[in-house]
Amino acid sequence: MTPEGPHVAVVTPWYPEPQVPFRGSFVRAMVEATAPGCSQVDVWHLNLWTVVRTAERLEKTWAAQRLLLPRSVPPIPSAAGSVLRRVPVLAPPTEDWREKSDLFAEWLAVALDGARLAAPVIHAHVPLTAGWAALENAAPGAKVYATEHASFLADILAQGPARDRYDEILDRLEGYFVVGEPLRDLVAATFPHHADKIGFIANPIDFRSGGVRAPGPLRRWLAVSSLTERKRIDYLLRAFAVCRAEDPDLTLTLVGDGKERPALEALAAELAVAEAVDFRGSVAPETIPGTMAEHDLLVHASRHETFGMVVVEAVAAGIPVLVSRCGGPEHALAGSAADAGEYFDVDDDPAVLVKAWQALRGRHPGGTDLARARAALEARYGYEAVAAQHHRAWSGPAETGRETS
Amino acid sequence: MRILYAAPISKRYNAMATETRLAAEHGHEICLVAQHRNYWEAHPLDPRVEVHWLGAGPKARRSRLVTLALCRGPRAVLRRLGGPGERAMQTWNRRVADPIERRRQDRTNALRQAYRRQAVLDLVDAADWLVLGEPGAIDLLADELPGLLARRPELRTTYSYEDFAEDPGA
Repeated sequence: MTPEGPHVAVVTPWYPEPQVPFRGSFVRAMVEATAPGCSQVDVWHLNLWTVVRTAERLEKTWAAQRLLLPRSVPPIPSAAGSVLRRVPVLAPPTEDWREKSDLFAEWLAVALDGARLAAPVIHAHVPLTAGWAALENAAPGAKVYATEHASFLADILAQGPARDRYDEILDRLEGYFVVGEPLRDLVAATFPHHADKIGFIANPIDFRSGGVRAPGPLRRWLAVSSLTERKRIDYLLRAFAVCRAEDPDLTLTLVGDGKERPALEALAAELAVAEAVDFRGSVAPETIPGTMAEHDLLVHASRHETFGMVVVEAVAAGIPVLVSRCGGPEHALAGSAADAGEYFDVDDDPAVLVKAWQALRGRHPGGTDLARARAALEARYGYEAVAAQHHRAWSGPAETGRETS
Repeated sequence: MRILYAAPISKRYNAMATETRLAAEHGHEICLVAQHRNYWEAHPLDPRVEVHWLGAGPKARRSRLVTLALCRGPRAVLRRLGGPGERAMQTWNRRVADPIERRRQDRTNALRQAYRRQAVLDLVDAADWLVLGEPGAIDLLADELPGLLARRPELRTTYSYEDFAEDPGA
C-alpha cells in the first residue's frame, strides 16, 4: 500500500469464496493489481443468496437478516493488503433486474448500519447491481466508477425498468467502463446520449510468472470454461473427434464444470474419444497457469464473450490459442491475433474449427510469434498496465469514450 | 471457541467442507448441523468436525380414508371409464386431489422445518459462535433470532468461517 494513494472501496457481486473459489477471480486480480498504489482498499462482496419462500415468510426472514447483518460481517484480510467483507444479498428468485438492483443497495445499507461507504473513491463491478449499491451508499462527494463485464447485459437491458435504472446509473457515475467491444456497442446503441462516457478498462492478467515455452506439436488441447451451452463444448468435442481421427495422439483437457457435464461426457463416449478427453472439473484459479503450461494449445469455442480473459491468460502462459470470433477476444487480441494463434467463425459446422486447427498447425511455430504477442498483451493487460488505467481514472477527470491506457 | 455451523439445506458443499476444516485447524470446537446427502459418502468431512446429520424428518399424518375416498378411489373409477373419464380425472385431480396433496406436503414441510429448527436450537446454547452458512439457515431461525440475539448479545454471528482479521479464541 502507498500512504499517499487513494482510499478505494471495491463493490462487487463476484469475488472468490470457499463455495466457488474461481468466481470473480478477475475482481480479485483487479484488487491485487491496484492495491499497491492505494492507501487502503475495502472490498465489499455482495453475494446473492436466493431464498425460495412465500412472501409472508420472506418478511420474517428479511427482519431477522436486518438484525443479523450489521453484526455479522467481520473484516477478512484479502489480496495485497485489502480488507474484504462479505454481505449476503437475500433475494427471492426473480428475473426482475430492477428489483435485484434495489436489494443489492438495501442490504449493503443494512450492513453499513447507518454509515456510508468510507472511501472517497468507489469502483463497482456490474453497474446495475453493485454499481447501484455503491451509488446509493456512497458518502457525499465520493466519486463512483463502474466496470461492466456482464455477458447477460442484453437480457437486463431488455427490461424497461432495469433499462431506466441503468440510464440513471450512467448519469450518476463519475466514470463508466466496459471490458470489451461487444459491451461498448450494446451500451452505446441502447444509450446513445451516454456513448461519449463509455471507456475501456481491461481485466488484469498475471504475466509475472511463466513465459513462452518451447513450441510443441499442438497435440495437447486445453479448454478452460464453464460447461454451459454458451461455451459450445459440444461443438468443440465434435471438432476434436474429427481432428483426432487425423492425429490419434491428440488429447483434450476440459477444465471447468457445469450442468451440461453428464451430457458432454456421454457425447465424448458417443464420439469414441472418451479416453482422450479429461474432464477435470473446477480447479483453483491459481493452478490455471500451471495447467496451461502443461498443454500445447488453448481452444476456445464460445458463442459470445465480453472479454475472453482465458485467451489472454493462455498467451501469458506461453501457449497459442485457437479461438472463435465471439466478440471479446477479437478486441482483446487486437493487433496480436496472428502472432498468438488462429481465429475461426462461430458456426455449427465442426469443419470450421478443424480447418482453423489445420491452418495453425501448418504455420506454428514459424508463422506465430508468441513472445511478441505476449509482450504486446502484457503492455495492455499486465498488472502494472491495468493498475495504471485505474489510478489514472480515479485521480483525473472522468475518462470518456477512449482507451484509458 | 465452540462454533455451531448451521447448514440445514446443505447444498454449499465446498463451503461447508472448507470452512469447517479451517475452523478445526484454527483450534475451534466445530459442530456442523447438516442434511445428510449422498455427496458426503464420497467426500468425507474433516474428522475433527462434530457432525449432527439431519434425517428426512417426520411426515404429516395422512388419513387413509381421505386418500381412498377422495384420491385413489375416484381416480381408479374414472380411469376405467377411458376417454371421457380421463378428462374428468384431470378435472378431479386439479380441483380435489392435488389441493389435498399440496396441503399434506405443506404440513410435512412445516413439520420437517420444525424438526430441523429444533436440532439447531438444541445445540445453540452451548455455542459461542453461530455460523449461518446458507440462506436456509437464516430462514430456519428467522422466528427465533430476535429473541436469541436479545438474550445472548455476546453470541458471535457470521455467514461463513474464514480467516477473519480478528478470530477470538483461535
